[in-house]
Amino acid sequence: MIKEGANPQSQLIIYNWRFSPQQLPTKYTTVSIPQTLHARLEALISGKTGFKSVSDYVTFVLREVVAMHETSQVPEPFTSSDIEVIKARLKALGYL
Amino acid sequence: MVSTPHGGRLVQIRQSADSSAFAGFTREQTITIGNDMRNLVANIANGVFSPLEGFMGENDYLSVIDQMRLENDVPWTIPVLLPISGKVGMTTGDEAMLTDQEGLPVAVIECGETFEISKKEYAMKVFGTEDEAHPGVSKVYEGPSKAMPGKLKAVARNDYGRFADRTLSPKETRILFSERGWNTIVAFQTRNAPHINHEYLQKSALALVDGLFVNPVLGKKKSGDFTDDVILASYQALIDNYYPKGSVVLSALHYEMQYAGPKEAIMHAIMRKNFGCTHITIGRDHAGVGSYYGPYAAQDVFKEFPDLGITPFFFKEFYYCKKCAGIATERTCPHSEEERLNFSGTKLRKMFADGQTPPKEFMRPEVAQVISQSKAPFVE
Repeated sequence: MIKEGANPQSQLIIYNWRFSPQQLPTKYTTVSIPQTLHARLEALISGKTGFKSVSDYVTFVLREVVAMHETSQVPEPFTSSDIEVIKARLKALGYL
Repeated sequence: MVSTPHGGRLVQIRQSADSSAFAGFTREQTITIGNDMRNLVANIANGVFSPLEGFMGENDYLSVIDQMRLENDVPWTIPVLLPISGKVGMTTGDEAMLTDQEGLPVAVIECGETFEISKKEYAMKVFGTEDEAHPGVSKVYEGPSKAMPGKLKAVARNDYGRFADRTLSPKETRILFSERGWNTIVAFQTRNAPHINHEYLQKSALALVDGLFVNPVLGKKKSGDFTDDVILASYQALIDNYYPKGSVVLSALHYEMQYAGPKEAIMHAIMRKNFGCTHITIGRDHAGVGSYYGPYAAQDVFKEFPDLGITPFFFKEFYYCKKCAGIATERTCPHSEEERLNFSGTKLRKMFADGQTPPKEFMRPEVAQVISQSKAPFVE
């Protein structure tokens, strides 16, 4: 389990794109993970996956997970009256 | 189910019916904008650039160019700025009116603190080059070096003028996709009249999803590009003749191409996600120009965004191979480049100017006919 805390070993480094490789993250924080998990992740990414560090990998995975959870909480961005007005326009334009 | 809006909320700034919202602004409180910026305002108001509610402030700007993310960590790769020249009378919290070239109101913004832009830094970080021959870089160099943050408070017009009957907002496409019963929708970005290779790429993607959203970019383009009228008419001809009825939605996107290659590919994906698309096709040299970017750099960049919320379909370049006697890609065809049927833009333009049409292996006759019948099919 990942916990808030200050563990320099698990410092999160934000991914950088090749146009600005010299850039370092302007804002970051630390989280703590069990050393055993850290070791497993280190072994997982060593040599072949393109992740430069465990922090890179953790950031990548967490962003994926967070996005998935955020997506499931988003309501429809329109009301039922919006729908009728828009359907009428779509019909008039030949889309429906 | 269609895609969730980027950043979790589809921005909707409705057209204000109250004309008093646009009255009482002095000359010093008024900023004149061009047609491309007017379209940009409409895009923000209609949610094409969700979750943005206006023009970026300095923190978002720096975060975007350095981290490819908004300050709140949401993926974003090209700044959306209101460039300002000359002395600025407004301070943070003031309201200012944006007007078009005729002086008609476009929108009211709540101003933030004006900030400086280093043009070279912008060019290098967004375009990966400082070369003024790059059309995006040259536009940055020609523009002002200050930007005004501004949240849209009211919009006088959220339409796009021309091609209104061929332009749908994200809200409209979301309802349309839902009405058609589409759960998976692939977007196709284009700024061209369709060749056979585009059609095969689209159909390869369409085979995997419920519907295809063809979303050609209209607006300022490079000399030699197809005109907006020709792009729309030629796509309509292709769809009418070669796609199953009800499998495609054609709608224009009023947006000025930046030619930023990989970074623009991400923006293209974000915009289409806001339209409700679940997938987007990314081909060879997507949004590139010249040889500034690797042929598949726009595909590689997607690896940086596990949280983008729209899935890219990557394709190699399609072409007609004379030996295969069919459409192929380098993954499906072993023959040399000499066997490929291809025409440069220059050759294609000359062909149409001379009253010739390309062979049917390269372009559908119905599409070629639309181009031939146009008096000026190419941008001067």
